Amino acid sequence: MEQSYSPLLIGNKNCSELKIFTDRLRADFLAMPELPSVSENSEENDWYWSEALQQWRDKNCGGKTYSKIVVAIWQQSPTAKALVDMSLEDWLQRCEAPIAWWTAALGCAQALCKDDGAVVAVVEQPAVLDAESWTAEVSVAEAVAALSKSLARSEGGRGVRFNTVTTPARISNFNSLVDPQPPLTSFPGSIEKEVIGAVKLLLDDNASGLTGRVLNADCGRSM
Amino acid sequence: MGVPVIIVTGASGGVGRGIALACAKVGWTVWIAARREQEGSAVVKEIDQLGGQGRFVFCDSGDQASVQNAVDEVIAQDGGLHGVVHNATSGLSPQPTVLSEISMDDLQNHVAVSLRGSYLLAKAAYQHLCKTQGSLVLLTSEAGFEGKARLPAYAAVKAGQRGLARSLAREWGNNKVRVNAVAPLASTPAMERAFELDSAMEQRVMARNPLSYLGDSVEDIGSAVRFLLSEDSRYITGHTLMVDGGSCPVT
Repeated sequence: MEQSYSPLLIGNKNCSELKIFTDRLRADFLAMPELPSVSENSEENDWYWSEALQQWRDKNCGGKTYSKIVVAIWQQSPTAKALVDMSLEDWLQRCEAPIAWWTAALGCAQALCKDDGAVVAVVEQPAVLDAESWTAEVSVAEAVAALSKSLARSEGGRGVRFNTVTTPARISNFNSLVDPQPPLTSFPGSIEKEVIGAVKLLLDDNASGLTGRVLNADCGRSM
Repeated sequence: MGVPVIIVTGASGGVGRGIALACAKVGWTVWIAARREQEGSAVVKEIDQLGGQGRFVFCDSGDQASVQNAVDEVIAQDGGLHGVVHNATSGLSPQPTVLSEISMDDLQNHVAVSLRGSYLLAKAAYQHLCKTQGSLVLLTSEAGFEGKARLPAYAAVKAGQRGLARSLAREWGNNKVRVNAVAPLASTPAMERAFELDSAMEQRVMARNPLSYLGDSVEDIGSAVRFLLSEDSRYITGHTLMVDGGSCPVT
């Protein structure tokens, strides 16, 4: 396999914010298929995209290897919605499809990460205080953290670390925050500063003893 | 409140059966919502023998129409619903996998039963639980806290359920409907199957268990879930209760 010293970003291509990661980390970009939208759902098979997703993973698992990998699967424009107001199509789009995308992406990261390397999953998650009407997103974030922890366990023997960064930067209800207010006035933080900073920290060799951790880059909102 | 009426998915055996019988022992009406009618009907008889009122309704937890029909059947026959327990889990749960090789069909099975089932049950039951200020309990796992090297998909969906419970508790709190999760460690056919598939697993599981035994599905797990369904826990919501003999080092 060909080897590279640049980091790799694995992400869905229909989220413009992910370009910030490639720019700031000077990362190569491995584009996943676009996340499906509600209107695209098929009544015959609501996971109609699964075969294409599996083919994407199988094709890319044998590619170029990296010592540092970042994975980010983000919706284009997330909005809050109560569970009881969600149609099954909403649920598919907001919860089930992202979990499938994350599973394929982290599986690919597992295969592409060199021994003694590091992988960071960056997932959107509101703090518990702000979690109302973000049920699908919280479910996805917890699932991603568990996938990352599972990989930390299975890949630790070859020195590969898996950690997770969470960010509420795009998905908090900023106009009606429950008291107490976040300790840092920089809440909810930005992708450019707080999120990239946490990612760099966990990718760095100085974090060699950290694996299976979840770092909430939320300016203290969830402490 | 009169006799509580509850519905338990996947209760034709294992932990679900234990929860059903624990609730039967205090005289509750317990609906077994499962796909296996013969086994479910056997549990119904056990419920009746213990002093409860047992009922069976077919339910495929990942199917919207099936879940809605099951809840409608409960309301049509008993007029109300006080508690919902989503215990059903994929038959693939104990099957070891490597994440980079898991098939999307298998992942869909995990997600459909655990996560879609949670969503469908919550949505179908919400208006009825509002009327009774009832309780929703989701059965998760220690795997959802700490991950599992050989069961990553199972760990993921169980963690997702925990997140769903925590978030939904905030959405439903104003109507005094509580949402909690339970992470059990029990002696069940599924656990026995997992031990068969991973010979070192039994030693790993028992070595860190300070109480040195696997929980009984009725006395240990069922009674804890019954507590979360009852008014005794009316000030508890958004919580995941570890009922695992102290095994999991993360809470």
